[in-house]
Amino acid sequence: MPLIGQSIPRCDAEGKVTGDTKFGGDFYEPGMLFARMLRSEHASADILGIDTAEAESQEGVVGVYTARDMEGTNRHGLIIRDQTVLAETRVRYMGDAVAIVLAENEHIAEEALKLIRVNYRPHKPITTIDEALADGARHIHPKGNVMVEKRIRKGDAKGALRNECDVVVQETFNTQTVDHAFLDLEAGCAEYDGKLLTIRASGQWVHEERRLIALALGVPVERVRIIQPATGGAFGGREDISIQICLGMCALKNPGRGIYMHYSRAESMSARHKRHAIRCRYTLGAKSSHATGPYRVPNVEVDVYGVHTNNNPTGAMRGFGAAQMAIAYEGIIDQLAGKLGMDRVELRLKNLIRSGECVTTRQVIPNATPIDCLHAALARFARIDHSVLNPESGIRESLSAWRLRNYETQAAHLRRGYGVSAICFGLGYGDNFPDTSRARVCFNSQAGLEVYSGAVECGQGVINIIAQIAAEEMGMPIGCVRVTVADTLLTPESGSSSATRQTYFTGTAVKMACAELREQLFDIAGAYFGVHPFEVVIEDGILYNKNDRSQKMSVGEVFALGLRRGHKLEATGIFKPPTQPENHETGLSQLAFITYLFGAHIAQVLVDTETGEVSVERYIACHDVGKAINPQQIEGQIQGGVAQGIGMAVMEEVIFSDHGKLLNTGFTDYIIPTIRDLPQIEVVIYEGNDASGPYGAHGVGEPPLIGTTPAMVGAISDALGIPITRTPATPERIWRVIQQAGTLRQRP
Amino acid sequence: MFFQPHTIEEALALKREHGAAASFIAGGTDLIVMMNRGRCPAKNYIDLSHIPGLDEIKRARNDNPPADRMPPGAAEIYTAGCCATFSRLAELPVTCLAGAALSVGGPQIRNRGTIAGNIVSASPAGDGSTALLSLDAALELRNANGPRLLSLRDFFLDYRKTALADDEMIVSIRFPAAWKSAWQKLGKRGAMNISMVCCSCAVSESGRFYAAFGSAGPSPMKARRTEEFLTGAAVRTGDGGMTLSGKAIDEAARIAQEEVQPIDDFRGGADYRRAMAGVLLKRALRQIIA
Repeated sequence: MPLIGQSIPRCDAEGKVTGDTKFGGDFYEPGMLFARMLRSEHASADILGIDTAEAESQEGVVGVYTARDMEGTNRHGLIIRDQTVLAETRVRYMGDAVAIVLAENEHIAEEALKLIRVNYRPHKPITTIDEALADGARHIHPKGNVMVEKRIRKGDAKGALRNECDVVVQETFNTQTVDHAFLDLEAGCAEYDGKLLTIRASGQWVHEERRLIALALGVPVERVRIIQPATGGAFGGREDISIQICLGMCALKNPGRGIYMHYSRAESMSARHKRHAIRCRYTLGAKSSHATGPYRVPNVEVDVYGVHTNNNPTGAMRGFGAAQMAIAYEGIIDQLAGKLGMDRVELRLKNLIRSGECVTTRQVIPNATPIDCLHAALARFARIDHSVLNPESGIRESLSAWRLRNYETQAAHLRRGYGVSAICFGLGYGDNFPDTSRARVCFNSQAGLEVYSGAVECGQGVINIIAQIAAEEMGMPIGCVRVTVADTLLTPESGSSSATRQTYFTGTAVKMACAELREQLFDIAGAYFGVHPFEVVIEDGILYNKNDRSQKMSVGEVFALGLRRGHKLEATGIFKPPTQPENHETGLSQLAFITYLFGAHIAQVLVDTETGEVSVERYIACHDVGKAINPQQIEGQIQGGVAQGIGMAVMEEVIFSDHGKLLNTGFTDYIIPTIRDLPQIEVVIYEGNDASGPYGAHGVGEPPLIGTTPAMVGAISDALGIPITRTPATPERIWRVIQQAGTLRQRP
Repeated sequence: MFFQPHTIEEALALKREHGAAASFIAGGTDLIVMMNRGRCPAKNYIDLSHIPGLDEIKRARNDNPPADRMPPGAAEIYTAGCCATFSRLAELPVTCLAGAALSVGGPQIRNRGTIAGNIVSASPAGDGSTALLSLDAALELRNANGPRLLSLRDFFLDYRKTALADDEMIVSIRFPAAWKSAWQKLGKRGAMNISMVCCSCAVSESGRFYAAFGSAGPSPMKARRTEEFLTGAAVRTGDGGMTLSGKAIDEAARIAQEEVQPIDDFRGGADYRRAMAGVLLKRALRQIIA
């Protein structure tokens, strides 16, 4: 039975069910010292002095450390290393770390924090885009408040708008700041034995974290070991450094002592980076029958500015920047359809890119499947089993079901709406950024297969993907495979668990390594059978002479024989496909990303127009996953992404006061959906077979969230007959939109 | 100190000894959250969960002469012990209270959270308190010297301030068993949900209307003008029930919107809460007369 395509139970399931699994917070042991951080109480201030004497003099306080005690760069940052680990001359957000107290217990540490005197000179914080860009605005970083500028120029957008377009739509979209809200709070431990600094804390790319930690602390990288504990969710929220450098600093200063540190939910919320809020001004022109994202747009002009503020730092979150833009491009497509008097689905089917066409940045996509995904989603919408019908009639039937969708409700104040979205997402880092996964495979003394990869398991299921690919490629039972991930001492670097890349990148590296190791087995078995290695096959852990199946040996026998004959029996796979940089002036690139992922969603909602409440009646998510290596994991990923996307659409929002204080630091006020807020999420797995990925697979981590918010927003807009341009569309916001409109238009 | 008395008398003696420095604790769904946030409300805790019978709910005829009845208009009442949990209350055939109880937190919280805890916390968003206000419930308070009865409407004084003395505890809550009632709550999600506004309505056997709102003022509040208007506007139907015209319901909502005093904060705008008070009242009234 092939292992690819099987929902093999998760390798880490048993420990999680029995409670044996150790997360970062489970590593505390008696005798460890507790570290706590002092955080800035101002969003913007100069630090004139820090007096730690009183705190240091307390019984049980082992040390109080500030930036002065840091022996390395004291910097971190995912792309630009410009964030201070401990503040030096200024603080830039309320929550910026200023000092660390290390004490015999948490209570002493907590009390000592209150005795540190920081002399601040506060400034009025910059909390909005407009304030940051205002003339004479205080510079948050030395180079000014515009952190990054990007542009895309394709064709002549201004000319086309002026001369060729019959219809032009313009809109400004605003999205909110969003928290990752993973359940497993930042926690971990560290110890320095005089030779090696070992840190156990959850990140998303242990090897990069090791580099950052070593540089920030001023220790050689080989003296740092990072071990990823079991991790309960990341979603990009562990890509930036959290507690690791502070743990390391305390350990280095106190050799032989275990150091423990954990955040409360409130500290986690106030300290961690968030998803960027964006403001997007969009102008889209079209000819009368006939958009960026997954659409064919011949003329494009894009200017992007990233702006510093004194709110929390922003960074990666599931669909880094992509989820926000999808709200805008799908919203504007819906508006275009309205202005053209066209059905939203038909407009999309007409304009979505096809195989062999190019995305906005001019990269040709050999296997573009957004239309197939939309067809499959529509078929589910119409409750047609696509597989048993002739595709042509199936498409006709599902389109007519869409056209006849039901708007009738049980009461006049309840209005139904339908939303649709298409997803186009570049997998991996792209833009010529080095993107590499490695895997090492060998046998243990029982002839079990050991697979080593630096990939981080943060709950998404990469361990199973690695195990299933390894077992399949080796021809061995999955029970003989043991996977070790994310330990900088034992595993080779495999890049981050982000960018929807691990199945594709590490999966390929594992497949390559196993293919090589299998060939080594074939060499040994072939010599023993007296045949060419090409004549050897392996099935379920037994090697056969394929011309005479009575000649057979188990992997264990071949392994033992190999060892006696001096074979090493190990292999490494390195997958490092190239991408090409974007042109600085035009933003165009023939190979901006190694491959693209597509999908389509349909949302059906009921809006209570008296209260503004939204209930999701149906949700359909179709994704081209290439090949579903473990379908149940894919379903889980898609359902989780949709749940997060529904949260982003209608409830989740980090709220800052005018002083830059984060007001909702817990789940009482930072509202995320519960099971009661979600429908049965209908997952449609489309297998488009990506020839460049392992067994045709690519990835599915981020796209589900990206498609959800726009489909939800589209559905609410449809219900009201008014475009929603600000997220989240909370009941109160919807109510205000309705109040402003006065009356809602009658349904035709 | 953490005390575990086995009788009410022991508990009250401890309370007399420690006064404001001691807090009763039962389900702990409020207090333990506060402790976790480093805001211990008291130095000492008197655990009520080892006193037998405090979680019982009994139904009985209100035998007092009408003048002494608490609550006044009820011929038949429930008496819920202070430690009765939301899960138990959710099973009662009292629509508004059961609805309120079922809308609190999630199953785990409902299994531990108690009705007296909800009342003494005096949270403006207290769902249970709001429902009980609309039932004109009465509290049996007791200190070491003996009991007193207090109507719930006289219990909430201001934001998080109540008429409970430092040496007193709520022993039980009495509320009508057979009034028609309705519950409406607007929150931000389907569960684990703090009221943005909630509204509870009830009508007594004699046809008097009661209406209360949560998250619409400094504490759960009775809407007295709304109640009076409704009582005056209601018409008795052939089967002995009460009914209201559409116009009367609209007018009641208008009065209620004037009467509520919601705040404007990051959780919601005052104008929205005010408007929703009206919407919820209409829905509750329609349920009652249906």
